[in-house]
Amino acid sequence: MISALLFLLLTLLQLSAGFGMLSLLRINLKRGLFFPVCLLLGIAVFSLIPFILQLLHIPIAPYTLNAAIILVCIFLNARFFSAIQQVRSAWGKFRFQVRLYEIPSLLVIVFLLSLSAWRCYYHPPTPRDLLAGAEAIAEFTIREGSMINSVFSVDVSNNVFKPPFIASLQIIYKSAGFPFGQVWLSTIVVSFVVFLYHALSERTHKVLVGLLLIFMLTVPELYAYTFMVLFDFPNAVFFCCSLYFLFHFFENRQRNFFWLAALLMGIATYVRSETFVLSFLLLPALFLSQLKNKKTFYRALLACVLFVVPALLLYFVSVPLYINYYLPLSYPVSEQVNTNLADLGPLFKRFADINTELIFSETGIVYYGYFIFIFLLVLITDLVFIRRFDRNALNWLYAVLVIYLGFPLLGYLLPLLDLHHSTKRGLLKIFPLMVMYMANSGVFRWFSEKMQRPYHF
Amino acid sequence: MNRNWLLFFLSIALITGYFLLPHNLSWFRERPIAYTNDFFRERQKMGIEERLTGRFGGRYTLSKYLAAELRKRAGNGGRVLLVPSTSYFKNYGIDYHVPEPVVFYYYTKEHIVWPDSPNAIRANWYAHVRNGQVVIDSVTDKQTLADTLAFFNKFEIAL
Repeated sequence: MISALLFLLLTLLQLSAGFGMLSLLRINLKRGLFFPVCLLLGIAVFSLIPFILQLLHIPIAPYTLNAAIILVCIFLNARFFSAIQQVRSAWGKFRFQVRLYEIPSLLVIVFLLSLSAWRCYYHPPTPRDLLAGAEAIAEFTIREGSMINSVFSVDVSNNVFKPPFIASLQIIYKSAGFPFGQVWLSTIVVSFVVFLYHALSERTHKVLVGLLLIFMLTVPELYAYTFMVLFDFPNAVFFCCSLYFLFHFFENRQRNFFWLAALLMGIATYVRSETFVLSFLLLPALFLSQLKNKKTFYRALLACVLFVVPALLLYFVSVPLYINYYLPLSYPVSEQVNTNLADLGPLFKRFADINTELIFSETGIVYYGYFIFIFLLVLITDLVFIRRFDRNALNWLYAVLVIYLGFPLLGYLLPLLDLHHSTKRGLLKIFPLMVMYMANSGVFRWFSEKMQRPYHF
Repeated sequence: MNRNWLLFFLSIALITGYFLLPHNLSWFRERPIAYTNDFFRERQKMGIEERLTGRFGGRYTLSKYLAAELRKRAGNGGRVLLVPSTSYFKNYGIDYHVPEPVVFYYYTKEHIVWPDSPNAIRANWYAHVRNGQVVIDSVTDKQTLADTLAFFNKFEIAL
């Protein structure tokens, strides 16, 4: 009972922090997107709090954490009253409506998410990367009041040098009385699924939206990481959300959407630092979009630079600065980078291995189910029969390509990212992007139009 | 029958068809159905130690045993335990997946080193198998430690 109340309190505080972020950015979203985005932003804010306390050499204790959380929520909500007025007038009267045909897929989704949430709550953190890194650091931070603690006196692996996104959230939730922390992952999962449900419904009939979400949630690897805390699922969530707002910026040209997209990409980088390489691969799309909207070459270039600033800043603070100036052990990041870039052999080999061993193989079906084949079926149908790609579909297809080609590049630049662990999990990012493409695809739009028509028997 | 009902049955048909695909059906049985059965059992076992033991099994319980033995034998003095590899224990019929030092520290708050670690020379206690039991003994001198390390390093050391 107390756990439930504490969870509710933390969730409300995250909601308020996220609301504050959206109000400062002056972004109004429709109701279905508003709450999940607030929660995701709130979790992102919370994940920075213990880390910032550590950077400022402030002891990490329940009283300092609580004070910091409350201060941050108050500070972010500087525009609270005017933002509330805007939201009220934008939404009008609230009417919760679930149509009959939504029920089957919603029941399946709720069933899968409930199991996921239970396992996330019940089981202790399991992945070795977590136990040997963020979880150990968080556990001893609670005991010793600092993220730089006795864990570093033991023989450690590179896992203790990963950015402190998970460690920070584990510290907050363990401090609040959850012995295994972790339940914040369920908040991210549920928020993201709700976000996707409403985002997909903008273009596709809800019967197909429910089906798409079931396809995605039943990807075996993805479903497993909805209750096993590791970096890859949160990274996929923030990466997808960033792209959603970036592509909306392409359409509506509102700068606040651009900034929200850049911020979310920064958070995705804070979760997994190599994401900033992928953010650079998105720049050609941004650059072209700016030129198409009659911006000069230099303004287009400036937009590209500004987009990667949050990602670079968070990378710089959480990796080189933190490791070199705070941690008691050295970890030369530069030694992890491939120095023989002239030899492209490993790049092509990694690309081939991803296809032959991870995706198009028996192992691929074990990891990812039939999802990629469903995506390819939709893509081929669009290419052969529909032969029309609207701008949104092209944007999401580009995003899919960024991951599909970006991961071989990452494996080539950072050989430490092995195939059957880091790359296998890193490819989780591609699934929400494929879902977004499919919802915007010609074939899904065709079916949606047919489903909108009245039928009587 | 109007549109809503038609779409309702269409939705059920599509979802059912999807889960009847071979791999999806076996996944659904091995995961969601199994997890549902686990839930009814797990809600009767809510203790923290029960959950840790249930999840980590022998690697947790044996680690806790070694740590308890170390505290009992070594007292409050500085203590570093040398623990041989998983393959060593397997060779002697003990099913113990040795966690890496930081994970052992997370489980037990005790320091261990692996035989291939440059810090292995700091060990003042070592674990080994005697008469089918896992025991710990103190390091009496540098030569004993060196001989012990040489022996332990003959066994494959891996995560």
